[in-house]
Amino acid sequence: MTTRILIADDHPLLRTGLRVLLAADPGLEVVGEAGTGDETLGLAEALLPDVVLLDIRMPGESGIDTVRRLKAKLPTLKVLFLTMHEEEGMLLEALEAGGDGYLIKRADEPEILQAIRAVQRGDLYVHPTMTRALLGQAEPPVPAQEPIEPLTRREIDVLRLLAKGNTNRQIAERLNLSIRTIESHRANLMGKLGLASRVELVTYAEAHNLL
Amino acid sequence: MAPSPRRPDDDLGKATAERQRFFALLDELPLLALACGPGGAVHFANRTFRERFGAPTTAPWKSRLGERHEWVAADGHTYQVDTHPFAGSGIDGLTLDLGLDITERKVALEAEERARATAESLREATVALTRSLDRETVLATLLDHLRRLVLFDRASVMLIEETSRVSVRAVFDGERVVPFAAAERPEFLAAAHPAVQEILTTGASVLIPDTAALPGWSPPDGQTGAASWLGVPLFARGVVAGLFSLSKQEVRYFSEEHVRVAETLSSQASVAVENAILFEQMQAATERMQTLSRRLVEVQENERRTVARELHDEAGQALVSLRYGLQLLERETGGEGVASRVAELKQTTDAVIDSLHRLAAALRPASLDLVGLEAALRQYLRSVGEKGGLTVRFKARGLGGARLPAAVETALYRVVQEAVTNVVRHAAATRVDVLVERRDGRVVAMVEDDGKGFVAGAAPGAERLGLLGMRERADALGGTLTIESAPGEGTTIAVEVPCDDPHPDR
Repeated sequence: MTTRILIADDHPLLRTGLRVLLAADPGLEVVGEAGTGDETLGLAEALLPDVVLLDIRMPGESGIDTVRRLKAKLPTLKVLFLTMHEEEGMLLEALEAGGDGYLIKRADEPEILQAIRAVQRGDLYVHPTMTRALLGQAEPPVPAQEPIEPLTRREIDVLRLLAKGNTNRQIAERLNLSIRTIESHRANLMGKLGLASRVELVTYAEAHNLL
Repeated sequence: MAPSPRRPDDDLGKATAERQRFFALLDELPLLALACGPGGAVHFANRTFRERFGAPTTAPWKSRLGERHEWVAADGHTYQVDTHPFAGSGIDGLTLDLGLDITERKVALEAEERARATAESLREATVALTRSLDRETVLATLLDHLRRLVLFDRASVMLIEETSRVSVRAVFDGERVVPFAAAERPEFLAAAHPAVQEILTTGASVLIPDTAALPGWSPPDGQTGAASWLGVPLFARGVVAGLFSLSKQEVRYFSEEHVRVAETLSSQASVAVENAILFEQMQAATERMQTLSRRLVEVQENERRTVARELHDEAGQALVSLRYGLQLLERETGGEGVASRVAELKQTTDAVIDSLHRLAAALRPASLDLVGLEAALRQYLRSVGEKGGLTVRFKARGLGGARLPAAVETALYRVVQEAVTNVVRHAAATRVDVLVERRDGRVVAMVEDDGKGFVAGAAPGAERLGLLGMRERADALGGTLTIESAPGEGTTIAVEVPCDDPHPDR
């Protein structure tokens, strides 16, 4: 049984190249080509392909918007993004919107075939160089331990304001203290909590419900 | 010998004779003299009196002993009259009024008084004029003070606009001074009003005593009812910059003195007018510059977006197509040598695609348009961190919901990019933290490093330019840019922009 494929990409040259490449595989059949989101939706409903190879940037709506519409109309349809964009944010957005796989266009033929088969099976496929993004946003580890020494009332105030994105001077004005005093509170509280930077501090405050 | 008793008759006669002699003397003096009985009956009026007032039977004024008053004759002569007791006149209760001609003194006094008032008004006007830089206020002040010196009915101030057009900037409509906003200023061609044209070309005042006698007269400021009209030039930097016009419903109202006062005030106003004109030009230039600079940023951003897309989507996709072709070729050719050549070509193609990708992302990451600020920043900061030498940490809070307005996202992305670039290039830092928080109708982006810092306000050249650009981006969105740094203590740059307008559709 052949896998029926719809290619959605606004570049005719690329569609042709892809079609010729895929046609060499006897297990695949390219049943149609679309150049916009609307065309993709229309052809998908008319031809009921197994897999749509979907570009992200097309004229009009983006592929990310198209996948939402496709999945709403045809929940069993598999959508494999095939894109130029090696951007993690794009990958996450695409998968969140309903994509079954994310492949970059310069992938070699075997990988393309592998990806098509994977999504058709119901697996998630992500291009190997980008899988790391799925492991979470690699935030700095939050020191889990309790403060070496309890924070003073003032230090907690300063911690909160720092975590809310205030500069030392802004905090000094807010608390009616000198910048030097704020700097020393800041150094002290970071030392007590074993924190090295602003982002760690925000993460700590977040984890301890101080915001 | 005992003195003979004096007879009253003799005394009386002697007094009468003395009185008559005295009266005769008064006749010769150039003062007003009047002797009246207690009831006001005139006993004597000297020659001066008779010449001025005829021969009265009763005093024309009420005399009271020790009092002084002024008497103005019908011909305008003014006398200062003192009432004295006329002792030894032989008539009980007779008083003597002596009047000095003070006409000239009075005229001089009044002139002095007027001159003082004028000077005072001019001084006040000068102070008031220099107090404001706003042109409309300056001109309104001018009319206001002039009104204290010349009782005109209507007035207006007109300034030359570019090439022979004149605009009315403020009018006194009989009750108050009304300045015109830029959009509603009446304008006319100077040539359409000969009087205006003459003032502007000669720099001299024009006085029209009777406008009805002037064929084709029409009020240049559109205020009707001017029987007499006075136009006085206004100078700025020694060149005629405009004029002010005064009008009165009365024919031949304006005197030479009016002209002089108006001209004096005009010359007092000239510095103020000049300042105001310069200020207005400067304001306009600043506004133009800001608009241009914002427009430039916008255009630049659009260009980057277009070029990035062209590189990435057009050139890049063409290369990908080429790559597909190479893959086909690889599969179809059996020869060992050809296959390895094709593999090399594929590698070259990949390298070109890679560099296009990097170039496009550096210009403007697609995720900024397609996904959002957080994704774009995360991608960018990861690429900075991967270059090594610097620990880059990033945290975004409150950006999960609706996207920020596109202009805000672009501005924050660019500010962070610029700040982080500065850290990489100049700060000699070991870490940089980037925090983006959206909260309470505002979003703040903060870049903080532990580098060498700089003295506040003394950032080195290239950095200073970058900071200027950041500030402009913040300003353009009604936000603020905060820079805190000290040598050896790192640098914190925070941009804060209001954004209470969620864009759920984007």
